[in-house]
Amino acid sequence: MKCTKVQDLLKSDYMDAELNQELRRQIDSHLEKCPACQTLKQSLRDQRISLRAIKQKDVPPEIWQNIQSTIIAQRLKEPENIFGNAWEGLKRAFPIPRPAFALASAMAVVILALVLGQTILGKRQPLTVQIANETWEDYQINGETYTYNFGTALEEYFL
Amino acid sequence: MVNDIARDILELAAKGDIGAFEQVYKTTSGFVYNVAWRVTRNSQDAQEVTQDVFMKIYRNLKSFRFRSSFRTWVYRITVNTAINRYHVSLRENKGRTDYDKAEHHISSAPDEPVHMQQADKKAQLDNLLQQLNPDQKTCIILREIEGLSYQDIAAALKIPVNTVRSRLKRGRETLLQYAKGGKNTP
Repeated sequence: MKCTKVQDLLKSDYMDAELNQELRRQIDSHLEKCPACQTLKQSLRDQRISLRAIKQKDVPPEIWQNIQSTIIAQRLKEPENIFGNAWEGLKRAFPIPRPAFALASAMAVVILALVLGQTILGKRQPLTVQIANETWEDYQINGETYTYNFGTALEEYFL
Repeated sequence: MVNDIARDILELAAKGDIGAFEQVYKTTSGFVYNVAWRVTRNSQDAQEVTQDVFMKIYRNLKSFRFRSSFRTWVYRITVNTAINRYHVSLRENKGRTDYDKAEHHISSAPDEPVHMQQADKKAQLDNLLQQLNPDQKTCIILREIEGLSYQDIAAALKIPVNTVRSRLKRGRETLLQYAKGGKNTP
């Protein structure tokens, strides 16, 4: 194996133990005979030792405190968000311009009032008609029938 | 490297159990903070990145379906958030002297005691990492400092394993050149 190939592999797979056994064996046998590649291998090892000796930093405790308080603050907002999101969703689903929405609302109220009024009046109408209709009663006196007008129930009430 | 976290802990955390989420934080925060610090090179940025990463985990844990490993997911969020923050800081703070860098330069003064010089050697190599481009630097950090495999790095960065291999190779070459004084050290 040529030095260039060996050196490429030293800087990557060999150092990182990602080589298969056969290639590793070939490189090891090359290293035994090649001082230049030996030197490179040693330099890479020194570099690794120095990099791994870089002290790991301790995590500042305030980071967890900040995370915890952010989570708590978010949770407090959550119920508000549920309705807020639903409303926003509706607004997105029905993108109605404001004046049109106002007009539609007014129309809806008028229509609702008419429908309700009609229903209530419709139900009361037979009763009112009955009250307003004149009441006629037939009486028989000495074999003759007389029809007597008692007037409306309304009139009767006031009499 | 992040240790594995039991699935039931993750499921509890996903349901909003703060105690379980704290366990997730304790297991992974060391990795997240150190990667963030090495990528951004600024304590304030590293803190913000760590907070962002955990808020993203908290919000998205509900939709995590365990199709990929949780560790890889954390690596990916961490690396993306840290690199984004690094680019934003670079744009915002052009010309501003970084506190962490200033601290390093003060400790590299020529009349410093011997023990400080020794401590500075490590800091110097740490500083050399900043001479790599962000792609190479991230690969070197994940491999050499955090000990991730090629497969994990590829999954975290969403790049092919061959790209990981070539970035590591070029990164190491650059570091060797700096160490030999072949390139101007910072």
